[in-house]
Amino acid sequence: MSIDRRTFTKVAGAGAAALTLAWQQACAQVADSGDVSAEMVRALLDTQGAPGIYEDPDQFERLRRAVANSARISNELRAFPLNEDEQPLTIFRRG
Amino acid sequence: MQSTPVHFMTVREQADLLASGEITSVELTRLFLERAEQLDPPPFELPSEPRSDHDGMLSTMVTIARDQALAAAELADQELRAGRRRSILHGIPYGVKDLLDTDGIRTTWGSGIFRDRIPTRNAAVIDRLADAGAILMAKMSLGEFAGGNTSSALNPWKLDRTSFGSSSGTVSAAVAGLIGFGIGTETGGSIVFPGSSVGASGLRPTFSRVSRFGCMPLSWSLDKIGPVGRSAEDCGYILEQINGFDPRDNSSVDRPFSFRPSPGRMRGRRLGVHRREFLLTQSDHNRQVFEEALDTWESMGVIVEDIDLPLYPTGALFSTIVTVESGTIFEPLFADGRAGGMFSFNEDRAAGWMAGRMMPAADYLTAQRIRSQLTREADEILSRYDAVVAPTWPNGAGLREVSDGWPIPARNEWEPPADFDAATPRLNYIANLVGHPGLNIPCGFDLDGMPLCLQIVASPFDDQAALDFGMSFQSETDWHLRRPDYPWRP
Repeated sequence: MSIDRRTFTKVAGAGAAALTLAWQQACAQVADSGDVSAEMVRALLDTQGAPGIYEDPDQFERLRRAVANSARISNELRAFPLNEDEQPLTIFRRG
Repeated sequence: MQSTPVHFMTVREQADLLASGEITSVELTRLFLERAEQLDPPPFELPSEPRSDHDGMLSTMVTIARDQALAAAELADQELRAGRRRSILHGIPYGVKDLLDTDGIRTTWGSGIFRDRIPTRNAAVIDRLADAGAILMAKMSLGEFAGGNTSSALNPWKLDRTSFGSSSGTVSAAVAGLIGFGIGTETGGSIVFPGSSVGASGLRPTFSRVSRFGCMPLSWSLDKIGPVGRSAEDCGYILEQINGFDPRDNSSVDRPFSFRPSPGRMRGRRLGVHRREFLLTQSDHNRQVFEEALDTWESMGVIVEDIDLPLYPTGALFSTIVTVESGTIFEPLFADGRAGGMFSFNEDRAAGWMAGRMMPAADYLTAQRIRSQLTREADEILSRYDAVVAPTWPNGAGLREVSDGWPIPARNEWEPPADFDAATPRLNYIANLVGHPGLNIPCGFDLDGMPLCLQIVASPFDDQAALDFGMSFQSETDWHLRRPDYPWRP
């Protein structure tokens, strides 16, 4: 199947937006209830392609706990009083 | 006076024997090979089939490279006889954490998934050590995929205790006299923590100083490779050989390190002490051990001052950076389902990697911005001192548990209370995040006879300062010379 640039941008953009939106909702769920719903984790997992080992219920439950933990961490990082001039340690540098 | 057995000698002592002709490299290599094969043969036919009882052995080695080691030792002896000594490491057998690629020798990354993985190249560090004339003898056990949650090896001071992770095979073997020296790796504490649990001298070099090319990445922005030995001086000699610029590693910088084996005059040097970490132990005895260690430097005229470290969300930073980067690195394992073959005690870790893949880039960048801010603060604090010190871990090694036949730390026995821990900045986590060098040295024992250690942290690229404090301490004490008795205490 061939795909033109415009279609690629649309699909990739939609995927990224879906992931960001789902993660935002996961962060909100954790802030409200301390946990993340299975539906939310399924939505996040869908953005990663085939569920693979997370079709297994035990593995899925582990993933649900891990997502809740990471969402808690996201909230913690976002609340940190960061100097607005601070750049990330990922700057491309030559020579 | 009883002389030190050869298998417990430091790098310099082994080198002196080789240089004087009292022993050949083949003889030294055979000595270590026979000791390892007699006392601690690789316990796993496959790394995925660990034994639950360990038969009283330490399980420090995944693979012993007997034939390659003896062939290299023959060559080393020929060169020595011809008057060509490549370095102080020439002819000394070493063990390397099974995370670094070795041409023709299987490299499992500690996982049954890669039990048959045989690289066709050497990691940069392996090539550098070959150029230095050192003898690759064994691939050392580790937590699966360098997991700090797994003590792959038992603790030679007491077999029911953890040796932490992930470089536990390397540090346990160094202390038990099974290798001449060792190479470990560290992302957040994987040299110094296991080093602390067994009383090994181990150095986490400045980030960028040692090429990671050919080493399994766990976190591109945090991984370090460093030496493990039986003294601080050992670590200096080894670092001198493995450091150096490598264009194949994007983090590598051209800042050569030339080791100075004498610490020089210590009077007037400034040592910052993060005393709040002394309170993380519940043992008065342990606190006393750490206090007395400081007296050793003060008696040399070192100026010892208390310092405060900033409280940053270091746990959140590590978790974000490592899970996002590991989730990217190990994506193929999820894509083809091999992640399902990870050991059962690592399934939560695999889930964490997958969660890391879901975290938005903005959160990863936020973590790297906070890390940048921390780096400025930590550099400023370190600039006021020649080095800063704190207990590497507040307690001696705790009881281990067994999962899938693997020894794993019994965390409640090993860690300080969570509420207190969370409110106390930890020198190790800050130093790892900002890339400062850190040297682990033994400074005493707890009431159960388990080693207690200090970590000496210095400014970036001033690895020598950390080594100076370590060497000066070890010139006045003999904690680093204490050895566990064999048979190892059950």
